[in-house]
Amino acid sequence: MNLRSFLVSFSDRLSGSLLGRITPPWAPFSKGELHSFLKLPNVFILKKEITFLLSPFFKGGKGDLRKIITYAPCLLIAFLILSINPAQAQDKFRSFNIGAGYTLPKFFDESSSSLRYQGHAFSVTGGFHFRKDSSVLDHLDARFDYGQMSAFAFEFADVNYFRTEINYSYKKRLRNIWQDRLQWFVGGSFNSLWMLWNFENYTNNSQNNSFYLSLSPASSLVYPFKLWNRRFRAEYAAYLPLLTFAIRPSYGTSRLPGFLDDERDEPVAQFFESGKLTSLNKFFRYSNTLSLEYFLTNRNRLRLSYEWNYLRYSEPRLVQSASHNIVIGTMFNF
Amino acid sequence: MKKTITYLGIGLFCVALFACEEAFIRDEYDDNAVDIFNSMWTTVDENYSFFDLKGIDWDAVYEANRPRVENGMRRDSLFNVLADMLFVLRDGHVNLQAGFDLSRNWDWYLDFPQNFDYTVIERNYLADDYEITGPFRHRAIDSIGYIYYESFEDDFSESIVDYLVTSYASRINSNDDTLIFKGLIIDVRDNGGGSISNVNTLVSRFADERRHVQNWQYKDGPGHNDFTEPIKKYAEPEGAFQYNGPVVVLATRSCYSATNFFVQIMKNFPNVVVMGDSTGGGGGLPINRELPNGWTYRFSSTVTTTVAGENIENGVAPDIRVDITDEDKQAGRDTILEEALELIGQVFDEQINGGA
Repeated sequence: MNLRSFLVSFSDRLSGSLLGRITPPWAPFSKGELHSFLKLPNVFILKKEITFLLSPFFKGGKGDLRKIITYAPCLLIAFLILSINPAQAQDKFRSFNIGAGYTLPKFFDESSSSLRYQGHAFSVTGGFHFRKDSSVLDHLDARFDYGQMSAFAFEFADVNYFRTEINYSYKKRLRNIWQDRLQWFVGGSFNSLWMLWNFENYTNNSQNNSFYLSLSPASSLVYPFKLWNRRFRAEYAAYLPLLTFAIRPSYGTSRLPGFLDDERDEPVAQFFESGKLTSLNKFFRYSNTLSLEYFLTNRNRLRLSYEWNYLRYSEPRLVQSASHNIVIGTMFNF
Repeated sequence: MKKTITYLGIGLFCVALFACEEAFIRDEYDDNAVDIFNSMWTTVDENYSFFDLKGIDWDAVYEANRPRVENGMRRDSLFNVLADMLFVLRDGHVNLQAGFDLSRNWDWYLDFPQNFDYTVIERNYLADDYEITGPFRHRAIDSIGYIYYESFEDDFSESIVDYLVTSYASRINSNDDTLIFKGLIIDVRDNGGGSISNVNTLVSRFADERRHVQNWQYKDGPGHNDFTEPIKKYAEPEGAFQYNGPVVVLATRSCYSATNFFVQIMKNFPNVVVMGDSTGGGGGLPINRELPNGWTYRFSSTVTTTVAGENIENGVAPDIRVDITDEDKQAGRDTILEEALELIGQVFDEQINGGA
């Protein structure tokens, strides 16, 4: 018996077709069903099927251990996915969030270098989340990164990396989808992003500042579920700025255009003079975040999130940046 | 079924949007000789600020040097080609730095008289009776303050410069009519430049009023003549005391960059005379860039002009041209300093006799 026929027969035993079981891929089985499946004879069948499935890969050599290390997490994740149950809609919730994590930033900035930079950064995050009656997500999030970056041409890090982002989003539940298991929220977000790349080997053009204020449509897919009788909440959130006020260094220097005339003492006016209102065709930014919240007994939550974002702006010279960020934190209920 | 495919499509799209920046963010050039050459030529072409002033045909420079470059060539050979290309710019702010060498064009002072010998100053003028205040070495010579400043890279505080100008203030003691100081000589010969902020601090003690002293222009596009409108720069009085007595600034061809700025700004003040030789120049702020193999280089990216619109990239002419004579050199005398001492003495006498 191969895995497919095993799954088909197993699905049949649970009174459903294979497609019905794996689409949607999560939560096809109730807890009781899972327990009944994990009786000893079935475990032997499962072990036999997995052995058969992996037999082309494992040939008794030294490389098997590496393969097992590679495949074991996949099997574990598959097991978790098969084990979870959808939970009821979330409760009203207000939280103050703090967290810390790691960022892998990359950038290419034509106004500073023809090289691509990559590095490592430490992140701290904070924010407030207000979730009202399961129908509104009202989030204020902030993140600060500091790290070191270098071009591949250089042996040692030579750019100090600073990044601060503040994001406010307001989303309302549009509808539930996928047999009410997924909650779909849509709304908007206001985002401010400041980045500074400080080139240690440079002199007059060492500090490359940029600042972006954006208005974006935003969306979230929320999936509350239970796993091993514990409550979790998974969320996918994304935003795409449509209108952005972008401030970048002027063409020939790292100074902001409004501040070239340093005799003037009007920082606010100079700040706004340095920027341009731009839209999606010249300024493209996409940010998406996957997060997983684990409910503690005292209504606080642990939160693990992964964000990837990408930015591209072509004026006055091409700049591209991206970062992977993983953060673990606590959401304090209040 | 249709719904399922739609949802699967959305899911796949979301997953695909993670971690795909490798497809977008790439080095503009590869680490090979041809790309390194092209990278430097293009960057300089789009950012250097003095092509037209110096009459440089940068395209011709490309044509002359590109055939000398081929992938796989020795690193030192490539360095020499790039150095030759940059040498054409005749600019002391242009350097290519590799781990094993630094390219430069220092003709701005090597082709001219040195007009300065610190040994003569130290042994025959400063002697062993001078003060060292921060980066300044100074003493009174014939009732005239003499200050030697070796490099604008050496920082100093506001209080240090206040101390200097008040110490050598040109004045007569009102109690007994005895002369204290006639004037001040600021010697910046052999000062190769440094920080513009040090220039601003120093000149602020000699500014009689807020004065328009320079114009700056920044590149604002890739064309050789793409510049911003001139932005006015001012010198403003600052500090506890403004020196309004006679001042002579001593300059030579080896005054460069920030020192060039200092000399040019000081020329705007009515009580200041510049004596010696033209400065070496350096009228653009240099910016740094990198090559795909890790070498770094720099070049001028701005233009500085006088209030009258004269570009100072090639130097600032003195008000009074003086060279050190061979006889004085043999005798251990500094002709330029002697002339400055005499000039201040004359000016002071005229002021006294004229009742000024």
